[in-house]
Amino acid sequence: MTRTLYKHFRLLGTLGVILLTGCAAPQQQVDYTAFRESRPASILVLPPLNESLEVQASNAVLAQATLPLAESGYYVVPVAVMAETFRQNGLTTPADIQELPAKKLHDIFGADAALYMTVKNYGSSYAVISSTTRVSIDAELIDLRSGAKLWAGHKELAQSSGSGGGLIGMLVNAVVTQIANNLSDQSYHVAGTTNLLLLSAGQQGGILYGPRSAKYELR
Amino acid sequence: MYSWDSYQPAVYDYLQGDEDPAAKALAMEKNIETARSGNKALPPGFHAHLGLLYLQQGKGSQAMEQIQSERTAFPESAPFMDFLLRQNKGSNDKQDVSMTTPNGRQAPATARSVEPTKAKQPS
Repeated sequence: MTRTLYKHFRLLGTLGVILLTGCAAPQQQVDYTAFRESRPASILVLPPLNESLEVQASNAVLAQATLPLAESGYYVVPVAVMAETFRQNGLTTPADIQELPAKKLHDIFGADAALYMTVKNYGSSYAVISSTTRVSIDAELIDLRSGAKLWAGHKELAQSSGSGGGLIGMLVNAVVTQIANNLSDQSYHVAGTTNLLLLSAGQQGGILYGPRSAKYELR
Repeated sequence: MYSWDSYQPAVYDYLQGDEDPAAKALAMEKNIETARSGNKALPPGFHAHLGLLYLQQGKGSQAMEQIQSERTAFPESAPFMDFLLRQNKGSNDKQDVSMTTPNGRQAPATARSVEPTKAKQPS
């Protein structure tokens, strides 16, 4: 995947200027009292609700949520095995799954906390001279033992590609970039980066480090 | 902290309904080697997912081994892994297990048939 990503960026790089803009609303002061009391060690990432027009948005965000959480020191419940377990119990939509009682989730998966996400935006929009790929995600971490809300966050990331080089150059760019986007599914990669920014510990307003991290704070 | 080559792409492909569990399992088996040589741990979920891919191919005993590996590497996984082991108790290479029959998707290699193709198994 890394290699594909690299190739992809190299391709875009030769075509024009890449603008990566994280447009997060200023984070207000987050109250970590409940988080510190809960001390979760394991997280169940539930299938995200999808408010975008792209059907694969939920899977793309779900599949790439493990990395930032695991690197922040948490055990993350195996994602596809979880999805398969739900499916065998007749639960296939994120909406139905996110409605399940916390206790039931805790009984089956044994996770201390669950991450409830909503994909607000996912996909590319094309203008004549450039394209923008936008992913935005809301997330809430809920303690499955107590039902308490431990943390909430939101991140939006927009990656634009366009360039100078005169009108013809720009038109060529727009066309070629659209092809490149379709080929390697840029939205998927932007979703991965959005997850990374949203779900990594050690940043203002972000989640706290988990027990498997060297930076985990003991009380 | 972890070796991330294959796990998340394998999860995405699975969620999207990928029909080739053997190819994905191969990529993950290679990742076990690269992690070992790079002296890195495999991420949470890795072994359980590989187990799922083995189940899809009717390789029940290998699947159970992987679920056990997940449990050993990450004790936090014990409740869910025990749940899976209980669910698939007595499963072996000869019989189908509940996890191999996702709704609306029939993996070609699933050991649905009465006489499984045991010949594919090395060792």
